[in-house]
Order: sequence, then structure tokens, then C-alpha cells
Amino acid sequence: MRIRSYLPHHVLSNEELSELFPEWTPKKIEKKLGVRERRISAPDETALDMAGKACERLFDNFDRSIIDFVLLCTQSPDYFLPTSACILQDRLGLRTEIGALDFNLGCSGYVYGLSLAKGLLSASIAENVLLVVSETYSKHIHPQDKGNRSIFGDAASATLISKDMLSKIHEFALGTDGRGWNNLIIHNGAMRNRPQQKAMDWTDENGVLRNDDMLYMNGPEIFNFTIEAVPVLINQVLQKNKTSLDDIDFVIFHQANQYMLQYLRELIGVDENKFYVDMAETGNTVSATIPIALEKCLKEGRVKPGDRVLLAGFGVGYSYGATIITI
Amino acid sequence: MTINEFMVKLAELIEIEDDLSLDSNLKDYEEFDSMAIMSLVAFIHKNFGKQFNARQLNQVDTVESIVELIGNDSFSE
Repeated sequence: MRIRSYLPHHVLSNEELSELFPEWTPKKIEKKLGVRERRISAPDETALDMAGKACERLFDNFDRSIIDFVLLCTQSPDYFLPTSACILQDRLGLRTEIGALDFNLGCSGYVYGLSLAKGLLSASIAENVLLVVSETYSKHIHPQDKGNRSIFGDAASATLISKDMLSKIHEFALGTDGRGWNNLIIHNGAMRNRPQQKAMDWTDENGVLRNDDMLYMNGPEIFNFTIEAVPVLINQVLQKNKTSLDDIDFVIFHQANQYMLQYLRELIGVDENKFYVDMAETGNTVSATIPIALEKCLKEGRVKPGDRVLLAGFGVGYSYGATIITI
Repeated sequence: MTINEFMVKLAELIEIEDDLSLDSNLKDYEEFDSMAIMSLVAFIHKNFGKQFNARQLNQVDTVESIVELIGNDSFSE
């Protein structure tokens, strides 16, 4: 499996956050969230730019002309239109006789991307799919929002999914529950609430500073959703694949925050030794956490050829999905 | 779990050094932020098998109000 990720250069450390929010000590941030630092895209660096950089890493010593479909997952496109994947095709110098499309998902995006790629390969629509995920939540976070500034980091990742991998991407369990649509949201800027002028800050019933132009996350409600939905999702994907956790070599969940991951691990009963938790240097990079984890595991030999790895993503939407792949 | 044991656990969870009483108002502590509420959600789920939505949790102020939310009969004497 060929995966290459890109992290922006600017590092936002816990120490820097603690200077801005003195009640928020570096130790507390790391203990609670499992994040020491996160990367932040430059002001003029968009998700599309980062996607391009991840793809250029992937194409190092590699014939890019074999790519015949581009799937780009982002919630931060350069423009309402055109489609970012079309710009990416041009920027990367890919052939023009190929398909390309964006899809708008967050933390579940990589698993959904694998499912779309599997469909394209199975139907012989494509033979070499370039799956790219790229996100820049930092651009949507209020400067005074210490929680989200501590959790989220920016990143992009590119994966090549070729026809010979078709037998290695197994069954999927997918889920959608739009009842939670307004628990992780940027209210303004698109068609429902067109930007008229800059929105004013306001304070919610918990004394939390809010601004409808910026990202809002109802953390406790998202947590409630994951502890209900993810154990069921994992059961479903195991059933669909007629297997059990004992026969899974490694488990990679979307790296939401360390506290949530450890709680889910206990709840589902995954052995600590085969459960990935590593977001210290990147934070929650939304759709990019799973491929970043996979790339790291492959590089460090934590997963080896033949291993069966369970992947699960869950979040904004709510949207969730899981699958099992063989490395 | 007794109410006294719960109060000790709660202080640990929120990371405050004061001894809590039923009258303690959690909203007086800046440590009682969304991360602390998330820890509380997990703690209640794990120990009492109950889940509360954000609106219910937003209404929590004193320790007593959490005890009432969980239900007095969920605690041992």
C-alpha cells in the first residue's frame, strides 16, 4: 500500500497555547488530548495546495500516468466551484482521460474513500485510484477557541489504490445519522447563511465564546454519539467480514482525541498492544488521521504484509464507517 | 459507589484540588470545561451505564445537581 502524507511547516506547540491560555497547561493538554503539537497551514496554503504536496511525495520515483481516477476528500475547497479535484488533476499533470471528483466528509472520509475506490475498481471503471484527503480546520477556528485549537491540526495524505489491491479491501460497514448535523458545524459562509458581514462573537449558556463564521463543536455530544455508534459499527464490520477482534492484527481508529480513543478501546475490548494511539505530533487531522497512522505503521513495521487491519472513522455529519484491509 | 466516593472521583476527574461538597458549584471552576464534561460523560457511562445529552449536562451546576441527574438511587449508602 503506497501512502504519503504532508504536514504543513508551522508547529503550534502546547507551550505556545499555554502562553495564550494560562489556565491550560502543556501537561494538561497532553494528558487529556494526547497532543503535544499540531501543524498549521500557512495563511496562503489551502487544502488543495497541501493535497498537491502529498501527491508529489507519492509520485516520487513513480509513474503518475497510471492514475485514472482522483478522489479528493475535503471540506475546505479552494472555491465553491470548480471542483478541487479538477484543479489537482491539472496541477499534478495527470492525464486528461481520467475521472476526478471531490467528496465532502470529515473524520469518516478515508474509509468512505476506500469504499468508493473499491467500487470503481470492482466495476472496472478505474485501475489506479488516487485517494487524497486534505483538511485545514485551523482556518475555521476562532483564535480564542482553546479547545479546538488544541485538538485539531492540518494535514493531507495521498494513497494509491490499484486493481491488485481489490482482494485486500474487505467488507465495509457504513453509517449516517444526520440528527447530529449541528453538533460539528460552521454555520456561515455557504448557501444557507451567506456571508453578509463578519459575524459577531457571542457567548453561549456555558460561557463559551462562539462565532457563527467559525467552527463549532459540541464535544460532549460528539462523545455521546461515538460511544453509542462506534461499538455497534465495529460489531457490524466484524460480522460482515465473518471474523472477530482476535483475528484482527491491528486496529486504527480515527485519531479524535486520546481520551475518547482509550475509552472506546476499553468499551469495545481491543487489546492495547494492537490499538493505535499516536496523535502527539499532529493532533486530530480529520480525514487524514487514518492514512497518516497507516503510513507510520508501515514505515515502522508495526503492520506487516499479510496483516489484517481494522480501520474506523467517525465524526462530522454524523458520518461513520469501518472496514478491514489486508496489508 | 457512595456519594462521598463519587465526589472524590469527580474532583480527580475535573482536576481540582478542593474537597467537593454537594453544594459546590462546578461552574465556579474554570477547570470545568468541555474536556471535563467529556470526562464526566465517560465516567457516568462507565460507572452508571447512563448517558446524558449536552443540554442536560449544561444545566448541571452543583455537585448535587449531578447526583440528581444520575439518580440518588444509583448510589450506595
